[in-house]
Amino acid sequence: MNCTELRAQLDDLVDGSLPPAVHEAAQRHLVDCAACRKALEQERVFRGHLRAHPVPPPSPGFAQRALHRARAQRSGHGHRGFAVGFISATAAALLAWLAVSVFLPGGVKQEALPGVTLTLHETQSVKLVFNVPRDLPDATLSLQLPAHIELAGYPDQRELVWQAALHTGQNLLTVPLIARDNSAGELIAKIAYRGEKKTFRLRLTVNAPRTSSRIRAAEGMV
Amino acid sequence: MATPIRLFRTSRGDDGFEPLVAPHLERLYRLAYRFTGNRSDAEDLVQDLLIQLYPRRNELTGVERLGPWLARALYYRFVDTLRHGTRDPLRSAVDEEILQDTADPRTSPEQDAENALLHRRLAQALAELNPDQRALVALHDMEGYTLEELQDMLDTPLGTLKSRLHRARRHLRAALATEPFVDELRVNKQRSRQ
Repeated sequence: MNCTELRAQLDDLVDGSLPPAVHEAAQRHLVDCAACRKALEQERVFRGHLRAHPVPPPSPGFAQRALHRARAQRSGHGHRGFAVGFISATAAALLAWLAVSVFLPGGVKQEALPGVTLTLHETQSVKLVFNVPRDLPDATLSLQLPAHIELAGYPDQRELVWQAALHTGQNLLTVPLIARDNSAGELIAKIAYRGEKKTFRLRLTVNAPRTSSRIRAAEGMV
Repeated sequence: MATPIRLFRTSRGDDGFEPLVAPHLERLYRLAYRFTGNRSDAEDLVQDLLIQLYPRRNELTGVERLGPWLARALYYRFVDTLRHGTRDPLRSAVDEEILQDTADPRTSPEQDAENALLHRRLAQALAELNPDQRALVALHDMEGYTLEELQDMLDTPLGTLKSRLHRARRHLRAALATEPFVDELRVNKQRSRQ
C-alpha cells in the first residue's frame, strides 16, 4: 500500500471497517511512513472533536413537560371520539371511563355508566379512567361500594374518600374488587372540586365462577 | 384504617407511555441537538415526536430495540419538518449562549477560548451540511451508531452512507483547517511565536 491508497482508506481505517488484509497492509505502510501516521493522528483528533462537541442540557423540567404536553394535546384532540367510544371499552375489559364531561359548562351532574360484570369470589381490577379537561389539583374523590362487593384486602370498607390531584387528560384508578354474592349493585364514584360535584354510577353484575381456562383468558384481557 | 389513596394506583403515566419513552429522552434530546444545533429546536423536535408517538403507544410496546427505533423516528421527523418548512434551518447555525457555557473548569482560560472557537467553527460547519449529511455525522461520528446499524435504521446502502460521510467530513475538515488539531502542532505553533 502506498500513501495515496492509504489516504483513500483513511475513513474506513479510523472506523475500523477495513477488511483484515487491507487493514494489515495499512498497518505495514504506517510503520514506515511518518506523513501517513500524522494524517491518521489528525483524523483521530478530528473525530475526537466531533465526539466531544458539547451538548447543553435541556431546559429544566423539559422531559416531564414534553411528556405532559404529548398526553394533553392528544387528549384534547380526542374528546369527541372518546365520549362516543367509552361504552364498548367498558364491557370488553372491566374498564370504566368516567367524567368525560366533568365540570365542563352545562355538563350533567349525574351520569350512569354501562357497567361491568365481575366473577363471584374472584379478585378483578376495575379500571376507572377520569378524563378531565384541565388540571384539578385538589379534587376530592369518593367511592361507595354495595354491601356484597369488597375492596380486595379491605373486606369491611364500603366508602373511601380522599384528596387527589387530577391532571389534564386521562387519570387512571385501578380498583381491585371481589364479589361475595350474585346480587347486582352499583359502584358510586364522586368527584368534587371547588364547590362543584359530579356523581357516576357504575352498575356491577356478578357471574358464577368460570373454568380455569376462562379465568386465564380474562386475566390476560384485564 | 389504611390511607385510601394507597389502595389505588393513580397516575398520569399509567397509560404506559412514560415508562416506555422516558429512559430514551436524554439520548433523543442529545440527538435532536446534534441534528438542529440549538436547544430550542432540539426540544421542539423531541416534543413533536412525542406528540406523534403518543397515539401509537401500544405499538411501541412491541418494538424489540426501542432506542434505535426512536432514533430513526426522530431522524425522519427532523427531515420531515425541514422538508415542510416548519423549522428554519438557518436558526440551527450556532447556539452562542450555550457555547459560552461549555467552558471546562479544569482548563485554562486560553484553552477555553481556543475550544470555544473550535466548537463555534464546528457548529457553523455542521450547520452548512445538508440535513442528511448532518444527521449522519451526528448519528455515526458523534453518537456512535455503527454503519451497519445505520444501514438498517436509515434504510440506506452502506456505500451511500460511506460516501455521504466522506463528503460531510471533507467539508468539516476544510472548515476547521486553520484549527490546531494535534497537540504537537499546537506546541510547534506556540514555539514559533516565541
